[in-house]
Amino acid sequence: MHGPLSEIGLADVLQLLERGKRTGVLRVVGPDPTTPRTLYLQAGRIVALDPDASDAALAAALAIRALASLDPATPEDGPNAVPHDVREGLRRRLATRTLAGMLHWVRGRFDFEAHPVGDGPLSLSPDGIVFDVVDAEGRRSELAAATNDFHAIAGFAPPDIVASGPAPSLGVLDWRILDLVDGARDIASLAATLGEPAEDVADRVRALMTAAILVLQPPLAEAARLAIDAGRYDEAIALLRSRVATVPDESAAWRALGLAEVGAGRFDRAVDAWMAWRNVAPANRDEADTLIHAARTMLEALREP
Amino acid sequence: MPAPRARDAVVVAALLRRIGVDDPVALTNAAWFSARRGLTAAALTCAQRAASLPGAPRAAHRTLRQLLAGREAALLLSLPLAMHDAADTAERGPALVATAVAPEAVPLTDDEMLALGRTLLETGHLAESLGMFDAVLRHRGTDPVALFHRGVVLAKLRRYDDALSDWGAVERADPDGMLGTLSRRHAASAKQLAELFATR
Repeated sequence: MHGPLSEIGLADVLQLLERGKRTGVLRVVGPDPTTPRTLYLQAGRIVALDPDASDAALAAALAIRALASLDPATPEDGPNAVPHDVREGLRRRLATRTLAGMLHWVRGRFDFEAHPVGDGPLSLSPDGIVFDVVDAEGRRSELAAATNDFHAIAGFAPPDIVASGPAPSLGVLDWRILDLVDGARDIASLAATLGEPAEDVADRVRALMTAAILVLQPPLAEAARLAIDAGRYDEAIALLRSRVATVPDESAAWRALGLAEVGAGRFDRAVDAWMAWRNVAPANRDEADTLIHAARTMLEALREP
Repeated sequence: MPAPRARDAVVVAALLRRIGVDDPVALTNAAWFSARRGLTAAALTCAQRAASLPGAPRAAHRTLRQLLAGREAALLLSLPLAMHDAADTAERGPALVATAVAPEAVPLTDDEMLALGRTLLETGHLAESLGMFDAVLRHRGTDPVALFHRGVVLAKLRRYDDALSDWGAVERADPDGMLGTLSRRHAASAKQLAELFATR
C-alpha cells in the first residue's frame, strides 16, 4: 500500500490500517524529504514512531526539560532514572504532537509494508489521535483568543504581590516558564523556546496569573504603538529595544523602533533601526530605503552649520 | 550561570517567601530557579532546606550536592512527590539531611560553610547557621568573619554575653578594620540589650 499524500491524507491511511488491524511499517515522507518518519503498527495501533518518539528523542526531551542528564558520567541521573509513567507520558506527547503535524501534510508520500512488528513503547489509536487533534485545535483557539493570539507578554507581578497569598502548586512546566519570563517575551516566544505547544504554555501562564505570580501585558507592538501615539517615545523605544534584543529578527519591532526614534528626534538611531529592519526583512527594502533616506535628510538638515 | 541582577534577586526572594519552607519539591525547584539566575546563595539555602525535610526527593539531595560542588549547570528539576517512584525518596538522604547540624558529614570547605552559615543567618535559620560558624571556628579558631557572624547569631538568640565575647575577639584582632568597627558598634548595642534583659 503506497501513494502520494496529495491524493490520500495520512489520517485516512492510518484509519484504514487501524480498521484492517494491519501490522507493519509505514514510512512517510512529508514536505521536507530530509526528515522521513517511520511508524510501526501492530494490529492497527501505532507502537513506535521514529525518530520523534525514539529513545534518543525522549532522552533529549527529558534533558531539555531539566528532568534528566545526558552526561554519561552520571547515569543515575539519566533518562532511565525518571519515573516510568512520566517518561512514557512524555514519549506519548512527543509522538502525538508529531502525528498531529503530519496529519496536515498534503505533500509527500507514504509506503506501508506488512510484516511482523513486536511490542513498542507506544499504543496509539489513529482514531484517538484525530480526536485529540480536534480537541487541541479547539483549546488552542480559545487560548489564542484570550492571549492576543499568544502575543501577550508575560511578566512578574509586583514582588509584594508575588510574595503574598497561599503557597502555589508549581509543576515542572511552571518553573520552566518562570525561568524564561523577562517581561519582554510573548507567550509564542516562550513556547518556542520551551519546545512546548503554545496552548500548554498559555494555559499555565494563565494559571500563574490566577496565582498572582505573573501578569499579562498587551502585545509589545500594541503597547509600543500606544506609546508612540501618545508621544511617549522613550517608553516605546525601551519596549522595542527590549523586544529586538530578545527577538532580533522581528521586523515589525525594528520598523516601529525607527519610528519611535524619529519621534524622539534621534534620526541617527532611526537610520540604524531601519537598516536592521532592511536586513531582517529584505522584502521591505524599498520602504526601508525611503525611510532611511528621509531620516538622513533630516539629520543633515538639523546638523549645525 | 549569569551574573545576578537586582530585579532577579527581588523576584527570587518574593517567590521564596511565597512557596514557604515546608515543600521539599518546591524548594528543590526554587534552588534550580535561583541558580539559573546566578543567585547561588539563595539556591543553596533552598537546597539545604529541601534536603533537610522528611520525604525529600532524591533530586533535593542531588541538587544540594551539585551546588556544593559548584555544578549549577547540572541541576535538574524535581517532579511532584506523587509522580516519584517509591524508591526515589528517602534514599541517600540521611547523610545530607544532617548537613545543617553536622556539617562535617559532607565535605564542605570552610569557605562553603561560611557562605552557608551567612545564608542560613539571612533566612532566619539561626540554629543551623550557628552550627556552620561553630564548625568553621573549630578549624579556624580566630577567623574574624566567622566570629563576627557567630556573634550576630548569638545576639539574635539573645545570648548577649556570648555575642560580646565573639565581637570582643574580632575587635581585638582587627581594631581599625570594618569588622572591628562593626563589632564595637554591635557590642555597644548588645550591652544595652543585655542590661535591658537583666533588669526587666
